[in-house]
Amino acid sequence: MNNFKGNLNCELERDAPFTAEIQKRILHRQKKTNKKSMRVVVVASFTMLILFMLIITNVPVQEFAEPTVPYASTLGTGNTVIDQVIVQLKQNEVQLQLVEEALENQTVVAGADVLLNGRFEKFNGHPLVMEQTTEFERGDYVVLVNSEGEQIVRQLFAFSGEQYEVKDGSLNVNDTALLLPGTVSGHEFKETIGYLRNVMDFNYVTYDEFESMPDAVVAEDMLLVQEFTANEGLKLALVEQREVLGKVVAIQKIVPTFVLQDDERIIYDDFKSDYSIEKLVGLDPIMALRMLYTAVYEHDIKTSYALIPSTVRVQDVSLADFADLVVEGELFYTDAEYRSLIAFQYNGIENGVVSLSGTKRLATITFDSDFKKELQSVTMRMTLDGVWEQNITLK
Amino acid sequence: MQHYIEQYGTYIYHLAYLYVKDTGIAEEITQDVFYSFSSKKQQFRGEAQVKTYLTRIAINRSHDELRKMKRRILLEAVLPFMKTVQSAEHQVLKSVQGESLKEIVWSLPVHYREVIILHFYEEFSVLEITQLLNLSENTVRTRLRRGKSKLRELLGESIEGGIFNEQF
Repeated sequence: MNNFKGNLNCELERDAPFTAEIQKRILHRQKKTNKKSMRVVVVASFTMLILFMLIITNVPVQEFAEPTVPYASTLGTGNTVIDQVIVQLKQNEVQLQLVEEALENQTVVAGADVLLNGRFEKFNGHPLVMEQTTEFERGDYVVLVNSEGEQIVRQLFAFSGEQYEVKDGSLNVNDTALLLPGTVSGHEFKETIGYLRNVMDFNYVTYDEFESMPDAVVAEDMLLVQEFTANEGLKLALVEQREVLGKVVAIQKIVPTFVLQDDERIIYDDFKSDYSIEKLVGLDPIMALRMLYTAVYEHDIKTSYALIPSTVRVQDVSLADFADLVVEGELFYTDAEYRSLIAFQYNGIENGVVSLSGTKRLATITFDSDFKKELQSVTMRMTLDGVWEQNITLK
Repeated sequence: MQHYIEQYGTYIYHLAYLYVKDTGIAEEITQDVFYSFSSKKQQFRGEAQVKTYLTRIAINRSHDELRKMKRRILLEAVLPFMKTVQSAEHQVLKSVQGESLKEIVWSLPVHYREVIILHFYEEFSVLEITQLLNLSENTVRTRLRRGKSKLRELLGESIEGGIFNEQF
């Protein structure tokens, strides 16, 4: 055995042991897929489904689903446990609707400091709609005013008088694991099937770690909220109830500003007529990027695909594969959410500033977004056909 | 089947893990390999044949998974708000300091990584690798030489010494 093999073997045995549990799962699945037993499995599954439906229609609704397993000590030991945790995180997630505009009794909160969790994590920075109230539920996104007079949004985890602690990467409130997105460490999930099978589940398990905290009780007139700072990362914080102005009730829809004007639309439609690459030659990088994101915004998969010709050719990605992935991704959002996210991401590119590399084959478009504190940028590259294409690097 | 899983399970699991850099996907690949094998095990006479067959299936499945990952990364670029499979290379870059040997191996491009793993870790001969990967002998030898050279660069080793006993 050479040193390379010996050293690598030690690491693999330590970091990725082929445990008895894995062996058991593999063997178990072999049996499960046996054709002779398929009929039994189908009948059993149907019976289980009926039973499950009967049970859930008779169980009273609770504020939050209680964890069915003491998962903090068993994370990563089996897929079933992780699946159950993720199902409950989804059930408990606070749902926010997308609205065209705020009502009279509502105000729009600038989104810069927003820290949403779960499926809505990608809406961080997106403007939100607040309603004034003094009635809150666990999981609500409450709006506060910080010492500099800015409105900030924080998720509410525990009320005055409740006991809390952080242990093994999860937040326990009154000795019960709080299964809200953002309260469970993602750390334990990273190398497990549970995490990987949920890679498209948009951050139901988001954060690397909470710092452990001993038992404590939320003081009178205080609330326990989630806090995030660039220096200290994710942590918990106590805020005074009287600082709270209200809570987030919806997400404000964003209208796109980068979409094509009438004269530009003629060029775009002409390209769509036959997807001839020659028609893109001579377009500047910003126009090329706006065409791409107009297609993405309009769910036009075929045109999106045609506008990154070099990347898909080099990576051997077929249109069918690309379409499958886009559709899979879109399933997680409503049409309005999807469009608002695209607008949120790319509004401002129409006023972007282009800087070319020395070879003039790379271009960086820097643009100012209405909703983000920092300048955004996208890199474009000139293909061999003389066409600007978003620079997507895959190794 | 239990006998084969006990005998080759670790081997296939680690081989897949070195390809895809993820224990969850490695487990799925291992599962698929043994499922495929279960319907054909009567056809094999010697242990060598079994190992070669399992290895080939594992390599093919690993390549499938790597292709899927690339496609997801592509989509992430076009739909940047999507959360997709983390780029393994990105993970490796993140852990440049204090990196382990496997992370250094992972940082090699796949076509170098696989010949390095098959030859120096799984101890297949060059000829066997040509059959497993459907490559010419020259290609395998070139990739081995270049892969090893890159690996040494990453390890900060001199050509003369280091963790490889064999001079290729």
